[in-house]
Amino acid sequence: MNAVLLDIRKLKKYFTVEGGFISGRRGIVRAVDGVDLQIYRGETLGLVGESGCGKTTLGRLIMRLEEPTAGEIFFAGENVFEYSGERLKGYRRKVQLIFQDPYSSLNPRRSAGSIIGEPFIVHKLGNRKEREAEVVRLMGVVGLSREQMGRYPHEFSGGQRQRIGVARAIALRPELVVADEPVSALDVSIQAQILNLLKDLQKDFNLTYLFISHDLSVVEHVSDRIAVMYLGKIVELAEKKALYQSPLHPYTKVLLSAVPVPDPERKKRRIVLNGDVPSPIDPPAGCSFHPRCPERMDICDKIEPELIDKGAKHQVACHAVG
Amino acid sequence: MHPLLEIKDLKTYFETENGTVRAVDGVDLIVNEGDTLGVVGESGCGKTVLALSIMRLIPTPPGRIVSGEIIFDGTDIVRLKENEMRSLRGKEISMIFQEPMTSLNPVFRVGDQIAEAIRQHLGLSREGALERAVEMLGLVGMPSPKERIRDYPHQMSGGMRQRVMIAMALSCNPRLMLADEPTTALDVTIQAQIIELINKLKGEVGTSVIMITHDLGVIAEAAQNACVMYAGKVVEYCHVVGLFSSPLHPYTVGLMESIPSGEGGYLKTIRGAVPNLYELPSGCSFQDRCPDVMKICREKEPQLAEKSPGHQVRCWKYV
Repeated sequence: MNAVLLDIRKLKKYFTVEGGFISGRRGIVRAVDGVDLQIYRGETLGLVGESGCGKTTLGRLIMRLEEPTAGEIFFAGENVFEYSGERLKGYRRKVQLIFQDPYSSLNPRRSAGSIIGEPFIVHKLGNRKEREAEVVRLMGVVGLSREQMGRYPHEFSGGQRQRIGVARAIALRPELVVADEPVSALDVSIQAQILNLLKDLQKDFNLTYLFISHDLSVVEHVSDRIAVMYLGKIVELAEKKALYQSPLHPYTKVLLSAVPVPDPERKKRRIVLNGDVPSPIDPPAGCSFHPRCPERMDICDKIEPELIDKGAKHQVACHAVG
Repeated sequence: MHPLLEIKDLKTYFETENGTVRAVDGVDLIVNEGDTLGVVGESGCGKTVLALSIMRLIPTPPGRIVSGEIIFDGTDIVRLKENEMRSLRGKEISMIFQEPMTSLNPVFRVGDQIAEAIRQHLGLSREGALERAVEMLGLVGMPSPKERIRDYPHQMSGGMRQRVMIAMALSCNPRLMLADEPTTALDVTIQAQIIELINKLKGEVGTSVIMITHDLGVIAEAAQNACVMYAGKVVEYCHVVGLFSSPLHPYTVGLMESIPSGEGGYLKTIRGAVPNLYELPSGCSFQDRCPDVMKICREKEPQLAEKSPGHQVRCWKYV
């Protein structure tokens, strides 16, 4: 059983919003609303959910790009939010981020080599020659050539830009990589190349991944365990096979049934939800999924269900699951 | 009984400083009444330019339909004058664009945007058109449509905006609807709702659909026939069941194998990337990425030919 690398406890992040459509009224967006989660060393933990569920905010909190409203994150036993100065910098070496959009996450005024080399400069590692050698090596690792070092982002395709982002993320040999929708913007054949690359890197560099995505097929492919988020909370957490074969939470069942299957002969019994996701400013009382839930019971609009282990480390937050 | 739409050897080129981009380079296809034709391809294959060509929305300059015919219900619409095309566009042939946020006018209320097409084509008064807009929004499953027509696009979620686009596209009962990546920017549960909606409305309104997407899952769920595009040409064309059960073109096979399954492990990939459209090689455009490339592939371009009944492929392997 591997050690816990990242331990998230009762994490909350609320944003206040001014105005809204009724002037003067303030709202609170409960982007992350009480998350407990452990990530084990060496695993790929998938985090799925739709827009507004809080998965990106959770990723940003882990990166300390946001400060929490409440709760804690422990990295290898140390409280991440107590870091400052050099120790914070040290944390940033160990936890890196791959961004979603290969078009906006690279500085358009810097060459590929300069982008990949920047982490070494920030952390004052190596001299110029050593840095350049390492950049060349990293580019090779991600499937780019030395000749492309001097080129600028606009001269690369989306897939190639994502490779630059990946090279930048692994430059400092991090322990944990938070990949936020790393292949969503890519065509399926390029997506396959990047997924294979991430798999190789995990083996070669001993990486732990938090793989955030709304694409259930991709998440199923890469993950060991998967957490499902809805309106700022984790509603289900299980090993991949268990989640896809026997999902427990009604929302997970809906999500899985909604994925279009590339097989025209398979008649799908699809559960179609009514309406849109409610706003995280005004979540429903009790279980936040109850207004859309096909399995709703009386208790569901009164009491919020807790995330409970139902056996074989399959956790779910739902009154309807016995 | 002629098909609703028949495209013959369509070529749409763009003249740029760096050369000519042959975005659509000799496309033939047919849409029969009541069908959904899926057009599958990745970025740069020409599928959006194809749709814009059918709508005669290609910016000229730098683009231009160079040759070919687009025969809609017996008339070649390439030859129509702009004012004649305008009476077709939005009425007989309509389009759902890919990104609902950038396709709706941010400074006009949603109801007025839907009503605009209705007033233009059906000649109704503003009140009459707005009533019909409410009806259409109800048809596309928008809750509280009477209130929603007063919203601006930014007040709506992506799924709602997409429904507005669909309402707009269907408001004048078109014979043919072009849907360009209608679900790509949306969450998967909303995606499912939109696919169901389009399928349902096809039956109710009697519209035929061209569904453009890179998502093979969407094709499987929504289309009866499918064509695969690569570098401006159709490389495979058949009934959707045949596309998945026996894909022929190495590019199609590669696409199918790139789809992540739950298995984990490595995915088979198509090596390389889409060729530079300014510098397509002579012979088959797929030659540098094809696992089955032969000598003739680099010399002569293959033609689209029928390999088995209803299944066409453009590949020397099958000649």
